[in-house]
Formats: sequence, structure tokens, C-alpha cells
Amino acid sequence: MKNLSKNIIVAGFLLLSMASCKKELDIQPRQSISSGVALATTADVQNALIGAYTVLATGDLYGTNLVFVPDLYAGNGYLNWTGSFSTYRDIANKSIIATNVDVNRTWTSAYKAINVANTVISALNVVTDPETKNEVEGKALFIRGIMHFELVRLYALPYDATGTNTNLGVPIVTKAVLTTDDIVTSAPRNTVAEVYTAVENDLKTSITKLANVDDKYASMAFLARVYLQQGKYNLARDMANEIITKSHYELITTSLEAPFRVKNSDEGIFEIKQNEQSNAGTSNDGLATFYSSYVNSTGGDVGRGDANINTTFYNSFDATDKRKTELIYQGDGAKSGLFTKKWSDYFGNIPVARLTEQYLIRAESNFRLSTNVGATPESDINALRQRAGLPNIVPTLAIILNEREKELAFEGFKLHDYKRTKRSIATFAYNDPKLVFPIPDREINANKALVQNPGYQ
Amino acid sequence: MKKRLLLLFATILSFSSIVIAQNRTISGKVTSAGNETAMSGVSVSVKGATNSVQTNENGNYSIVVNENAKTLTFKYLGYASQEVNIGSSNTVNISLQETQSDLSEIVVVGYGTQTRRDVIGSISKLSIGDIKDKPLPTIESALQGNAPGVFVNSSSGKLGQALQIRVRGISSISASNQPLFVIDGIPVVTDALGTYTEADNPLAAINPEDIESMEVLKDAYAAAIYGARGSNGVILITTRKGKAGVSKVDFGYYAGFSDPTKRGKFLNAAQYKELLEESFKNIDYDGYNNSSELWEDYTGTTDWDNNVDADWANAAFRRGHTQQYNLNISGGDAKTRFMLSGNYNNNKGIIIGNRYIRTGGRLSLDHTVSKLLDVGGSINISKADNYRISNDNAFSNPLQLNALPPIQPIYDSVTGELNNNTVYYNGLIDLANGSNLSTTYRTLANAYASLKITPDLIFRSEYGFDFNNLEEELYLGAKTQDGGGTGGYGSDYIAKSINFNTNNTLSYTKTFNDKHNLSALGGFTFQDTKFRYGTVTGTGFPSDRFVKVASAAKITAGSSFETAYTFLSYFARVNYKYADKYLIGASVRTDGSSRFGSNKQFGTFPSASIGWIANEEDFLKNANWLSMLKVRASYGLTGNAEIGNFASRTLYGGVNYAGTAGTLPNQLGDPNLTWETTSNANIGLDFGVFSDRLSGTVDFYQKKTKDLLLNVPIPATNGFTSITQNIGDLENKGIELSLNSKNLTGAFKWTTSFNISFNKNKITRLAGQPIFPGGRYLGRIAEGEPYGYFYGKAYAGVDPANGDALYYVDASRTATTNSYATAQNQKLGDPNPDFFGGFGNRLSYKNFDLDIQTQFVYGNDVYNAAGGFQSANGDYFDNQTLDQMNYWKKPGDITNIPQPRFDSANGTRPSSRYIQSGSYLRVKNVILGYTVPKNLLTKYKLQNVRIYASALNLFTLTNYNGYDPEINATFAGSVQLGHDFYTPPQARTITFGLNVGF
Repeated sequence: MKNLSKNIIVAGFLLLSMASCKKELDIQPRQSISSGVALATTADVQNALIGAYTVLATGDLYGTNLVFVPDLYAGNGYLNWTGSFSTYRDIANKSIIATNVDVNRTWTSAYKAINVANTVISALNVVTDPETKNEVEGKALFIRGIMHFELVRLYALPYDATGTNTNLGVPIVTKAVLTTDDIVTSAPRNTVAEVYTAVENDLKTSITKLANVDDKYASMAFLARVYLQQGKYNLARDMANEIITKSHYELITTSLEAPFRVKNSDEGIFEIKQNEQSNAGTSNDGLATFYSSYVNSTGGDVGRGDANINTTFYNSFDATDKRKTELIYQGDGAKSGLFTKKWSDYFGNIPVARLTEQYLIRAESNFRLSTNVGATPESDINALRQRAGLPNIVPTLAIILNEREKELAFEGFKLHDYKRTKRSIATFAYNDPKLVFPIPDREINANKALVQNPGYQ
Repeated sequence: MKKRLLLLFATILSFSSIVIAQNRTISGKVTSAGNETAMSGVSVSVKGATNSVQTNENGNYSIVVNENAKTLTFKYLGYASQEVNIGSSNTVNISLQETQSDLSEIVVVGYGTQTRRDVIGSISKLSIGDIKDKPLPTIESALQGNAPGVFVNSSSGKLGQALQIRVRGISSISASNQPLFVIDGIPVVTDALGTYTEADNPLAAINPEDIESMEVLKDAYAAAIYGARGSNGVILITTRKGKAGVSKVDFGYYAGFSDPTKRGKFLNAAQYKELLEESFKNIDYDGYNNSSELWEDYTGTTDWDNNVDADWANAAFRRGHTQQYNLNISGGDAKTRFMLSGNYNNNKGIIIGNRYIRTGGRLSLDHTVSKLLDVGGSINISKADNYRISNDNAFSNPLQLNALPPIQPIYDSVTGELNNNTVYYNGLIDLANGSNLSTTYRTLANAYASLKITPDLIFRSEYGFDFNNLEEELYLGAKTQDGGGTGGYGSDYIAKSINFNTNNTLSYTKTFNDKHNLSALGGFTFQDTKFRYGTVTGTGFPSDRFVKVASAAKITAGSSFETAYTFLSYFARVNYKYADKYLIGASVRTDGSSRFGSNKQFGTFPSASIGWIANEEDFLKNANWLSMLKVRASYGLTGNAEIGNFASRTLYGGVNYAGTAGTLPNQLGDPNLTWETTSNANIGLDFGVFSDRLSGTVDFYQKKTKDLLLNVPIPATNGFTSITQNIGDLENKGIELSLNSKNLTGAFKWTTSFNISFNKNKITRLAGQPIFPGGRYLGRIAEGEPYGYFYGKAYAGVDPANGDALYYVDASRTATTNSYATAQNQKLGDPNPDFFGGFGNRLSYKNFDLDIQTQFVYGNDVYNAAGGFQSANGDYFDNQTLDQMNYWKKPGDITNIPQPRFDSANGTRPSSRYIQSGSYLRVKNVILGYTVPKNLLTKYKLQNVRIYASALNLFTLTNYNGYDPEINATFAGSVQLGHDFYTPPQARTITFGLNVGF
């Protein structure tokens, strides 16, 4: 009996000790916050929007691939790949396989940015100030629009101005995934035409919502680019003209390098900003990592020098062209060869849409339509030529396109421009399936509704 | 909670003891067999009764026994228990034998001990004898080849790296597969604290010399007492403790050298130029006039025309050196026992730049306060300096030097400095112009109190504290690849994990009517683990003489991090034995963890086992040849909770966009996330014949895991690529056999041990898609297939007509194609072994002893993920393995090496071309020792002197033509088993040692 009572006392103490521990199981994360409290106020929603820009800035998107890949992919006679990364080598050689890591990461992050934009849009009801609400919504729509645009250009056969464009595009995603219940496992590919329509709509609404802020010009610049890609020259021309005439942006005449060095430059309509703490990378990723090869002031190599300029392209510049003399240098770092100065700073600015592009859009569209809206093609082209230290010229379409290639070299235009103008890249016709990314293999596995692109089945 | 426990002690202390009936006093002395020294602290009890005493410091005891008492039992940890019949004499002197693997040895089980005879779970045990005199890099490596059912893969030859340990197969896909490590009853943190994807090994900080035994709990009955953490097996480590008796001082020293087990065969300059010339020629020199021009334009050097023949492939290796000092002082009396030890181990690795230095000390103290109360504890402090080398996939990994062309010099001929104009980074610059040191400080401390409430009822309370601190300091100077661009790069990362644990148990043991033996255990345990780090990175240093971040011109990154988890568990176990032959046991544990959502926070894990000691039956009593025949069967549930601490929640983290703060969702959580459960059935047989001259164990098991904690891939169009959910099932089933025989027992002693384990792993259900990261790797997880099987394109050799690489069109392997893209993916191999095990022989004659242990793995495939670079028929500038010289040269050539075509990926993409058998047989340890005869020592006041020579990884038989088949490039992710990627080989270490006892 005595033993029993002792046992009961001991057991009682044990139970008491246990009860005090129960609350110890309730631990909150210190590093992150739960979704329930992440989107509760206006500031929370604005914070989430900033989050979307950090996705755009990764090497998966504008930090590297969306700028680098279109030039690398169309690199014949233009840009050489000499690096060891086989994923880029395969892109340069047009022998991509569906498990290519770069193909995968760009797709994944583009949709991540789209989901953040959708999340922001879905949380707008907590934003009470109508002005703020419009601005946040406009920026989110901009991000959603340009991401779908980048995806459809890389992962689908090109838009054909004269065709029906019923080729498979990419899935259009407009609903936020906030909980596991929102997951969609069988989103099919929309047609190319549908994706372009969705992109146009997002950008148009974005421009309306951003009517009172400068950010509308970013949406307009992309919409002009979208119109041009579709061969809608009148719309492209008018959009470009509005930016040139109404915005505060202007051509920088003092330095060709400035837009790539200075944040918020006079030319930079839409820029990805980087600094020491936030950048696409300094050793395995980032534009300067692949494009640079020089020795810095402390004797170290900057860049891997993996992407050098093909001598054919270099020689196609006029001898006095400042875009050659000031923006191309002989590498003396990790590799020798010719390299662009545009991407030579790990922490530099990445202008994704510069004003010069709008001049080129207006010039080309005016020329094609035989109009002179805003200015003549001749004056637009010569404005750029003068800045580059070149004499005036009477443009033809070929001259305008050549000017475009020189001005926007290594800024992520070549592949898309060649497809748009139906020019071949080496032996690959503009609509060769090999010039289209595969749908990432992991995505085909995860989503049975997706159909793989021709040539990758 | 602490206050309450103190109160509890106080209450219990006030209880009085019980008076026992008495009749007769027996006394005697207990000595240790062999050296005949007195043993104190030996438990002496009357069989079938409840009273017991301990021997005093002189080994003497005196016990009062009932006149009906027939047998005295003598027990001491690490010694074979003995039962002695009480005759008419009142004096019983005995000597106890140190155990090897006797059936009567003590086996440590969860929250207690049992004799081997009574164990009805499946447990592998390693004793001190299996560990001593081996220059083991870390304690767990002793399990390799010695513990059936335990697969150990060293992963790489780098020092201080985590080992891959799998107990009875892989039982989870996304949660951890490492077993739970428990040191002296306290679960310790084995998660790597560092930043490297090739994890550091926190157990490397523990001195193997301090280990008394290691038990691996394998089946549900053994492991389910650890409930939610038992699915991957549990490894119980018991440290050495002081024994009462004359104080002993033991000193040990060894020193030796090490070399790579194998070096690679790569092309010399002439061969390289021949191959590359052919490769360039076949693409018409890419528009250049000749190889020289092509080379110069691609690489920016004129090395093609210089006469250089550099041996880059061996530049990574050197002869390593190792030495260890060990001092151990122990002693005490019946009241107090202690052990004090110190250890210094300095290991200069076989890879340049790699070095590991461990310094540690340990104090263990046990004190008997009264007949009722025992208290004690230990503290272990260690420091480990790990001079690290880069991850396998970094250009600065010294093994990647073998990719550099032999026609490029290692040193610049003009400046005499390391050549930095190589086609790939010259990783030697990192070593010359940088430093990379990880320092671990670890304190393991525990304290216990054990109170006899009644002679049968013991309350035991244990507290454990595990403080692990890691500092990684990296500096890359202005000449290095990663530091050069920014004028030097420095970072400092300090992480600590703080693990607090308490176990509180009540145990009750009683024998009724001589036939019914009951033991019961109940308790609770609480664990609270925190992990935090701070890190800072700076660039732009005044010169390479400044290596601290304080001198950096720019602070480019900084971060701090904190996470935590807790486990609260209740458990109970009952064992019942009838007439020493029928055994039955059951246990249950309920675990709660902060890792799961509040509605699914608790899980319950029951188990039961039965055993029958057949040789105790009357019909076998006369079979004198049969010393042991035990049949046992167990079934139970165990769990796995080793996922992220907050995986069940949708979380937003803070982000920085060029100076503007924002938030970003970083995971999508499933609020219904809960435990992964493994049901585990085991049938076993233990036998011993001819007085245990031959003994063995056979176990059959089946483990079925359901509700897998799985990172389920979802379409990335959702904005997330995976969610952690309870989806899927898998199973492991297998057979383990171990045999021990005493072949000769006379003056010439010879014992043989053999064990072999077969395990078959299969994913039985995987709702949704297979997991196939792809890229450069082949590992895949799919329904109906073993974990991580190889999947991809099947290489079909070379088209004799044109030198094209061919692939099989589909899995029928009939038609071939030269189009890699159109060849269908198919099953290519399996990285999981069919079986593995060990075979050992120990011989001794007079003062000489010889111990030879081998270890083998059979039936696993290894994929050389670097094959596409180094065995790629001159596809790029990488130096090639020697076999590539057998490339296709002209129509009609029959070869497996396609025509070299520069940068054309002719057969170089991931495929079965780079898969080989990874089977191997390794002579793991050979120790030859000589014990100096006692009569030569007495005048020097020495107790014992032993000298020995020891070899680790003496030689390896394998068909694998890479460096080492025992690899696992862990950076590639957990799905990629058996992947080799410039992974360093193991070291062959020869040491000479001396042990002296004073």
C-alpha cells in the first residue's frame, strides 16, 4: 500500500511535468511570417509587390537569361560561347534537351513572378487608398503581362503577323495560388494568339491604372515591343511616339555606357536594379559573369569571359562607330577575345527597356507604313547615328534593322527580331522548332495537360 | 519544469528502504580474467531474489542470501555475466571475462539495458574491441562491414565529411534517412550546421577512443521506443566509464601516412594533342586554318605549340600524414568512479589543402550517494579544425584539376607563379591565395540521478545538453577566381545549435515465484533544439595580408537566422519472461512535435515482440551441443519527422530589391501535414552451438512506409515547384545473417565473423509524377522502382560506319539511333546494392595478434556524372581518361568510343555510357599487434604495453575504373545516389601505434 501511494505521487509529478511542456510545442518561425499575416495591410501588399521585382532580377529572368539567351541562341556570327556550362553551350548550338537547367529555371521563375503578381492582385481589397491601389495593381499587371510575353516568345513557335497563331503558346495563369487548395495540376497551353491577347490586355489595363505615375511608360514600352513583335506597326509606332514625346526620358549623349552604369538613367524606361547585396551573381550567374573578361584595379579577373563577340559582328561596325570603339574591348582577364562593355559590372544596372528602342520602333514602323508620325525614320535613325559618332544616312529597312542590331546588341533582342522579320539564323529558318525552347521536362511530367514542343517529344 | 523535478527528488529521497529476510552470508572476490585485477562495482545478486550488492574497491563483496538461494549472478557492463551455483561454501571467488559477442553480454536498449539472451528486438552491437587501434576518421565508420543491416557509404575521401548511413534501406524520400544518434541516452544533433552542400560531420568531433559500445536498433520493437524518430534506425552510443579498482593510466599513440586508394589515368601531352587534333579536324577546325589557331582563339593562349607536359591529374594528391595521442585515466571505488581522457588527432589529408585536427577532453563521474541513490554525469569538450576543400562541383575542387589540359603548364614559365591562363580555373590558386577553415566547438554534457524507490522500482532522470558551435571562415584573395573580381572576398559564418534534452523514467523489475519475470518502464522525454547563425561577407581587401571581414572595403552580404523545434514524448514498455524461455514485450510511444500543425501534432507508435528460447525446453535440454536457440518475432510502427521545421505552413520571407525591402512567399504549406509511418515486421533467430563455438543470427524483415513525407512536385505554373505532403508508400524487405565462430580456442586462437545483408527497396505508390531532377544526373524515383534508380538514354555504342554515338530507340533495345533527343528514356541501372557485408578474422598466438576485416558491397551501379567531361572522346578541352585513345578512327572500327568531334556532344550526354558496376571488396582493416609479456614490464611499473601496425583500406578489388566506387556526390541532391563527380577517393592509411598502461 505504501509503495502504491508512492508510485501515485511519482506518477503525479511526471504528469505535472508533462503538462508544462505541452505549450513548448507551439513554436513560431522567426525567419518568415505566416501567409495569414503576410497580406493584411497596404504595406504588406506593397512589400509583396517588391518581392515580385526580386524574382525578375534573378539570373533566371532579367538578371541573366531573358537578356542573355536571345543573343546566345541567335549567336551565329555574332556571339561565341566558350564556357564550360553545357546548358548554355547547348543553347548556342541549338541542341537543347528538355531537361536543360536554364530552360527549366526561366520557366519556373517566370511563373513564380506571375503568381506573386496574381497574389498581389488578389489582396488588393485591403488597400484602401484608391490611388495606391491603382498603382499596385498596375505594376502587378505589368509584371504578369511581360512574363507571359517573355514565355511565349521563348517557349512557343513565333507569332506570325499573317497567320492564325493557333500554335500552342504557354498556359495563361491569372489566379493566385495562396493555399494548397488553389493548386492547378492540369493547366493546358493556350494558343500563341490567346497569350498575346492576354499580354496586351494586361499591359493596356496596367497603363490605365498607372496613368498618374511614370511607371506607365514601362508598360507602354513593353506594349510597343509586343505590337512590333506582332507586326502591328501602327499601334507600335503610336505607342513609341507617345513615350518619346510625352515622357521625360531622353537620349544620353555624353556617354554610351551611362545607361548600364547609372540607376534611373534618362534612357532607362524599365530597369532591373542591382547592388552588392542584391544581384544575379558574381561567379556562376549574372550578365557580367558571362560577358566580362578583364583585370580590375586590384589585379583580379572580372568575369568568366564565356561569351565573346564574334569577329564577323565586330567587323560589321563602321570603324568610327562609338558602339564599337567605346562599348567593345579586348579581353585580358579569364579569356582573351572581344567583349561588350554593356555588362561589365557585377552590380551594374540592367536597362531592360531603353528609350533608344522606342526610336527604333518608331522609325521601323513609320518606314514600313510610309508615315512620319512624330518624326521621319531618317531623323530617328540619324539621331542614334549621330550619337554614335556616325554620319547621317538615308535609311532603308535593312539599314534600320542593322542600326537596331548595332544599337541593341547583347540586350536580348536578336533572336526575337530575327523571328519577327523571318530571317534565318545560320542554317536555321526563323520558325525552326530548334529555335524554340522545349517545355521543361519536369513540367511535362507534372502536368499531363501540357504538350511538348515539336522536336523534343 | 526543473523546479518540479527538484521537488520530486526531494520527495523521493525522503522515502525509506525495505527490509529483507536473511539467512546466510556469502562473500568473495571478483577479478577480471586475464590480468586478474580486482573489479569493483560488480553487481552481485541472487537469482530469483531481489537483493543485490556491489563489490568494493578491492573486488570484495558480501551478500546475504536466503537459504533456498541456489545461484549467484555477477554482472558488469562490458563483461560476460556469470551465474555461479551456491554450494556449501560461504566463499565464492570468480573472475569475469570481457565480452566479445557472447550471448550473455549486456546490450544497451532504448532507456535501459538487457542481456543479449533476453533481447527480443533486432539489435546489432559493436564493442570497444571492434573500434580500438583503427585509425578511424569518425566513430560511425566503425559500423561499416561490422553491423548487419547497416549500410555505410563514406561518400568521399574528404576529411570531416558526413557519412551516409542507412539502416535497413531507405525509408523516406524527402525526409531524412539518417538514423537517430543517441549518446548516453541523449539524442544528439547530427544535422550539418555549415553552409556547404557537402555536409560536415558533427560526429567527427567525438573521439572514437571514448566509445564503449554502439548498438544499432533495427526492428520496430527495438526502435519504436524512439517512436517518431525510429524509422531510420537508432544508433545508441555508450561512452566509457570509470570502473572501481586501482587507478589506471592508459596512453596511446599512433602515427602513419596515407595515400589515395587509387589515382586516375589521364592523357599525357602527346596523347592529348593527338586526340584533340583529331577532334578539331573532324569539325574542319571550326573555320580556322589549323588546331593552333583554333586553340589560340578559344583559349587565348599559345599553349598548343609549346612543349609542356604537365601532370595535372596528380596535382590534387599528396601523401597524407596522421597522428594521434590519447591519454585515459580511470579508477575509483565503490562510491565514486571516474574516467578522464584527452585526445589529439592531426590528420593531413591526401587531397592538397585538406586537413582535420581534433582536440578533445572528456570527464565522466559516477557517484553512489547511498544504497538508494546514484548520480553521475559526463562532459565532453572538443574542438575540430577542418581545413576544407571546395564542393565536388566547384572548379576549385582540387580533383577538377584533372580536367586541365596537360599542354598547359601548372606554373607560368615567365613569372613562376601559378598559371592563371588555363582553360578552366587553376584551383591551386585558391589554395595558394586563400584559406578555408571550419572550426567546430562541441560540448556534450549529461547528468543523471537514479533512485531506488523500492528495490524493484527505480526512478531515473537524465539531462543532456549538446552545444555545437561552428565557425566557417573563408578568404579568397585577389588572384582567385571568386575573389579576384572584387579585390578579395572574405566571409565569416558562425552557427550554433543548442540542444537540450531530458529523459525521466520509472522502471520496475520483479521476479515472481522464480518463473515470472516482469520488467516495466514508463517515462517522458522532452527535447528542445535551436539552431541559429550569423554571417557576413565582405569584398575589396587592402591586400591579401588582410583576411578578416573587418578589413573589407564593402560589406556585401550579411544575414542572421534562427529556427527551433521541440519534441515532447511519452513512452512505456513492458517485458515479461516466463520460465526463462517465453519472452513477450510491448512498447508504445506518443510523440508530439512542433513541426506539425496543431491538429496533427501527436502520433502514437506501438510495437510488440515475442521470443522463445527453445533450448530451455525439456525436449532440447539434453541436446548439449545446442547452447542457444531463440526464435523471435516483432511488429510495430515507427515514424519519421525529419522535415523542415515549419513545412506545414505557407510562409513569406523578407527580401531585398537593391535596397528596398519586400516579402516573397517561400513555401506553400499543407496544414494537414503529419508523421510518416513505417510498419516494421521482423522474424529472427539467434543460435549458438558447441558452447557458442559457432553462433549466429538471422533476421527477416519487411518495412512498409506510408504517408511519405514527400516534396511532391507540382507544375511550376502554380508559382511553386513542390509542396511537402503525406503522399506515397515504399517498402524495404531483406535478410540479414551474421555468423561468428571460434575456430581455434587454444594457445592459438582464431575467430571468424561474417555478416551479409540483403535489402530490396521499392517505391510502391507515388501519387503524381515521378521525381526526376535530370540535367546532368540520372537518379529518379518512380513507382515500382527502387529509390534513385538510374533513368535516361541507353547508350548503344558506336556506329562502325561513321563513328556516331548510338542510343537505343526504346527499352526493347533493338533499334538504335544517332539522335540523342529522340531516344527514349528508360531504366539504366540501380545504385542500391543487392547485398553488402563484412568478413573478418582475428588470430592470436601468444603475444601476437592479427585482425583482418574486409567489407564488401555488391550489385550497385555507379554513374560517373563527370564522364561527359573527362571520358568524352575529346569533345572539349578537358583532359581525357586514358581509355578515350581507343576512339573511332576509320569506317569499320569496332569500339565503344565515338569519333572525336570538338564541341559536338558525340555520345557525351548523360547516358548509360557512364554507368559501371560499383561492386567492391575492400580489406578495410588489418591490425598486427604484439603485447609485451607482463614479466618484462613489472620492473618498469607498467601494466601493459602493446605495439601494433594498422592499415585502413589496405586494398580494394573493384571493376569500377573511376577513383573509388565508395562515393556519393552529395551536392547533387538526395535523389542522386551513386553519382561520382570529381569525388575524391578514400585514403589508404598505414599507422604504427603504441598503447601503454600504467
